[in-house]
Amino acid sequence: MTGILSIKNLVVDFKLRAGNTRALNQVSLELMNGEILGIVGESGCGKSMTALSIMGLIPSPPGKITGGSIIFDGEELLTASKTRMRQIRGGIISMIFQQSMTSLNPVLRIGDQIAECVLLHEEVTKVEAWARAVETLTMVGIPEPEIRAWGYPHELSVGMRQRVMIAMALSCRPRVLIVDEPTAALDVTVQAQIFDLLKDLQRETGIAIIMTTHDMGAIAELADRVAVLYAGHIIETGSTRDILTNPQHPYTRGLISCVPYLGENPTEVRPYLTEIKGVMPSLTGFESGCAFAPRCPYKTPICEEVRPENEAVIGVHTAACHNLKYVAAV
Amino acid sequence: MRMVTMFARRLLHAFLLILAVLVLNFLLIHLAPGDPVDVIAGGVGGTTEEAMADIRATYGLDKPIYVQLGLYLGRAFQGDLGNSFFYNSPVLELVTGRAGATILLVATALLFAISIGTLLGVLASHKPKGIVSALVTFISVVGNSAPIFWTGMMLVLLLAWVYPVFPIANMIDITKGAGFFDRILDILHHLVLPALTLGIVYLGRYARVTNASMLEILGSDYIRTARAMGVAETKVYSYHALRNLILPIVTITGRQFGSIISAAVLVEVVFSWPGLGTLAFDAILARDYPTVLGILFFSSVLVIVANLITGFVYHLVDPRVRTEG
Amino acid sequence: MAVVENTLIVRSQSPLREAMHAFRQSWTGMLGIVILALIVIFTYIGPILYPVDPFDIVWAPMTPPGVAAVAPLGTDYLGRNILAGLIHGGSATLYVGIVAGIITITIGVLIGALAGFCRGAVDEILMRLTEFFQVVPALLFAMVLVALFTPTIYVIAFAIGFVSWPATARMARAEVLRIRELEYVNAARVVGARNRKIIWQVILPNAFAPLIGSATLTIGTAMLFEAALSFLGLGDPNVFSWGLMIGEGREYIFDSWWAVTFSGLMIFLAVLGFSLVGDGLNNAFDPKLRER
Repeated sequence: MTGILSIKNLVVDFKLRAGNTRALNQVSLELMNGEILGIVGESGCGKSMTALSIMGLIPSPPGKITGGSIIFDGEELLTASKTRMRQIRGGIISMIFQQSMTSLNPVLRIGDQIAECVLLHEEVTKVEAWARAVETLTMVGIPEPEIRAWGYPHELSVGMRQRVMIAMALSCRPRVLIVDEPTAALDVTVQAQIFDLLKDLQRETGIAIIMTTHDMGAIAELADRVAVLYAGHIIETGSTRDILTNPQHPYTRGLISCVPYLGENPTEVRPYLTEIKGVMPSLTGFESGCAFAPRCPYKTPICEEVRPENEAVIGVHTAACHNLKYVAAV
Repeated sequence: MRMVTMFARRLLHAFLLILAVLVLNFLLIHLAPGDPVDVIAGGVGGTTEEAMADIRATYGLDKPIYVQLGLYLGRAFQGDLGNSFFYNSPVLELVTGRAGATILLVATALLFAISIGTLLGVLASHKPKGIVSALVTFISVVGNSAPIFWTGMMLVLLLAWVYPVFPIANMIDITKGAGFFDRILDILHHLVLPALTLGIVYLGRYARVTNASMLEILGSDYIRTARAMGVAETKVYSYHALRNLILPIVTITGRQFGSIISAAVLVEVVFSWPGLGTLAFDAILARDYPTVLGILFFSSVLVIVANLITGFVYHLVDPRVRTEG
Repeated sequence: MAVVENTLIVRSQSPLREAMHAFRQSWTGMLGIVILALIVIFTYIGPILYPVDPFDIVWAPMTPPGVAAVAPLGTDYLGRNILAGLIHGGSATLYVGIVAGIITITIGVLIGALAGFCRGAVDEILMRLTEFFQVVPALLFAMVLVALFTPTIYVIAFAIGFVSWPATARMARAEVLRIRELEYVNAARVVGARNRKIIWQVILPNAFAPLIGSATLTIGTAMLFEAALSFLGLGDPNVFSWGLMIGEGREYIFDSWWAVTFSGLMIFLAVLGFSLVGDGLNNAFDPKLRER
């Protein structure tokens, strides 16, 4: 089943002085129309890289897309012209970054910044663009939007600025919204508001959302489907419910058990805090075997030799591990 | 309303500074070794006893010091900055007569430095390892380490002697035509070398600041947002980035006026450019202190006024400052 | 029993040794040291090896370099030996540069640190004072001071220091303000350390790094200042100075360009030397800037 956005075997390399780092290693993902897909993993696993690759924003001197394809609505993005990519960016596929504090230009009016986005992608007059800006500000719940549009970013709180970012991203009615770490730098109350906002927007506009995060809580709240990323490899995909209740891959299991236990009697099997021992490696892409093998408690000799493929476990729930049946039994 | 109160506050502040400079002048006259009469009379030996008694009476030098200060300030506000015995003319007239040439020189040099400097800085930030970057470093090094009066003289040797493209000195050539346009052209022709000399030092600074600021700006989150919205790279530079570049440029311009006037003095002497610098030079040689102090005062006022203007411009350009008032 | 594997033991050095090591790596810093060493030798050993009085008239005026053996670099408009002038002209510039630099830094750091540490009214007053000194053009101010009082080397050095401190004060204040807000200063305060202890043991060591780099820059600027005063004829008349050579040679520049060019070059090299050393020191003390 193919969706609106289809990533196949994407490979992204970074050539640094110390050597080559393969940030994404044969990553394949499908984004269905109208769903919220969560990409989850530790810091440095390649979530942001995936998002940047779709947008064509990989910083090009050190980084390079060296393989694979990204097909959006039948169009191959990796071979699209610069002009076409600029049309797509903001107009058809939009992205919101972390750090909303500093993501707006401090010397330009908010209305101007949103209107600029509209003017770039649609044939409208300045007046119409401004009206659309106010409209989107209303849509994201900014009080007194006409006044706010005349104002500057520093006059708003962090939560408000995050909403403005969302407004700007949605101003041209894109088909896909990529949200990078929606929970970073926000306190929990603001987080909750933003989550509600995203859910509402998705329901009203039917937009498809890709959400990259390390926060399993956010995944549980928002995502319809999840893809688990480790060291540049997709190691499990499935619906949120399936992944959370029946994780297959040892890493996913580890991730879920990392949610602190708040119950009364911690035991050896279920202590307050568990961890996955070891650190995520930075890979050159020339290693053999499973990327998680060095840290995996269920490792067998084949794990170091052959890289496991993503196999279907139950229906559309896939995982990449040689020892699935054994792990499931534990 | 806030704008007006801010402006009024700054104006008051500037006024107090001007007052302070006058007090400084007064102190210098009275703290200098020797008789204040000598200072006021300009150390022109041969002043008769009568003349000295006359000066003593006019300036009230036998009165208590704070009365003298009051009198001095009072005279200053009426435009009386003393008399130059050397030039036989009121100091204010002398100074205002020469101020135009200095302002022309400084303004031209600054214009040159800001425009070419920011251009080079932007180009250097685009290609950090390129030729422009190396050129900026070279100019900065020379500008900061070489004495400005020496670079001026080297330029004269090169461009007015070896390859006599430009005139050697002065502002105008009396032998040239007296028509209006002819005179303007003549002045401009004479202006090139001094303005170039003065400008080179500041060009280096603007280029360095622009380079550093651009690198910071281009790496910022809001530029990332602009690119993610599909803004073309040229517009990212010329609109989003540049609007933020204005701030540091205005800031450093404000900080440099004192130094640029000092440098202008040296450049004027090298090129015999008839401005405040050469006047100060001649006056000091002749021990004409009223004139020297008058120049000290006037140039300080220039700096204060320039600071006032840049402060105001900054306020216009940075919206964050506006709400703080 | 646990087996101890071969591990790499890294010997930790004191921060000073680390910085010195990093300094040796930076080619700009080392080049600066070389230039300065050459200039110091030229200026202080030179007069011993070439004891010609620069005020002596040795040959025909305005002789070009390489013509007379007595004056290998030519003579000026009075017939004085240019080379002797170069050799003897450095000591005034270096002396004034360093003394004025020390005065500038002392006043600047005192005022700036005090303002930054005390905040409030003290800060306001000191900053107004700083602003006042910045508004009066430094060269003119120094010219007036030197003209009113007798122009000896000591007066000149003091005058330069007296007008140049504002920039240092602002920097020192900014540094103190920055460090004050750092977490470990608050930590020290929470633990109950007294103010003086905080200043000495926490703030100053952290401020040390940028101050060192700026100190060399200050000395360089002071040297240029001295050269300017000498150029204008306001230097010590008994002392030969590179700036003086340029000033006196100005009127005869077309007939004796060598009188002006070489002396300026010397000033340039001296200031450059300090600049490069300052650059190297900045890189050495700031781990983020260290090149590989």
